[in-house]
Amino acid sequence: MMTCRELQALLVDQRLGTLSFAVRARIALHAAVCPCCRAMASTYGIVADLSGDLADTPVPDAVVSDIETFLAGLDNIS
Amino acid sequence: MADASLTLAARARSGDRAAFAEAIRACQDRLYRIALGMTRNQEDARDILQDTLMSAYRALPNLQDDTRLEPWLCRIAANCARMHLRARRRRPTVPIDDVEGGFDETGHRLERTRAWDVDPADAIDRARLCARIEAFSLELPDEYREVWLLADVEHLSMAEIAEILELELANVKTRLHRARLALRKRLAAELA
Repeated sequence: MMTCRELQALLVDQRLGTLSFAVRARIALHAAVCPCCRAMASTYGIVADLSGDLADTPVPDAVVSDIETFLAGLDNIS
Repeated sequence: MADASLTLAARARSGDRAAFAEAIRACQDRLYRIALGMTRNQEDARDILQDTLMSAYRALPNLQDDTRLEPWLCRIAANCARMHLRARRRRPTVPIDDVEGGFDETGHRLERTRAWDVDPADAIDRARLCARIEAFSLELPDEYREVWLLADVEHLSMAEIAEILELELANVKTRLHRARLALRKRLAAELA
């Protein structure tokens, strides 16, 4: 039986979808009898999933303006 | 008239300013988010972006024809952000060595791990969790935060992050895993 330590170390690969069927099956077997590892996998997934929401941060107009000003002034850069 | 047979990198290197501008505009949002994600300060992010543009423009002669411009620009932005952070007073960071948690000699958990009483599908819970993740991310050591930022916020692949940060793939995965565990641990202290 896979241990809690082994399962935790595989969480990153599990989310990348790079684990073999056999390893995924071993994880499922362990998780079925280990509520702590189910909780760990669930909360680890929440952190990974919700971080993506931070990419919705809009780029301020002032930043776009900075960039355009820089690009317009390229001729003046020695 | 631009030579269509040349790559964007070759055009930019040869002094084609439109090519350079095209490359910048194509990833300006990502460059800004890298700068903002590393500092969580809009003014600092603007400064870093300016440094990034200047550094990139000055480095154009070093470009190879097959250089992929977006990872190259992201690498410059990450380097500029690091230099910016180094020049400032050090922030306190969470210890990253103990985020794995405790296990007994047989590899089983020593402490009970609980699920969180939150629903990520609920807009209010989700916004609250995101705000906490954003705040806690500032406590990550820089080398962990940049990997987490590129992977979980920007959704870049492990290979792309390894290219941008010039790290081994295994190192990228280790840093990402530990960054997530550290963020999870901080959230758990509030939610479990």
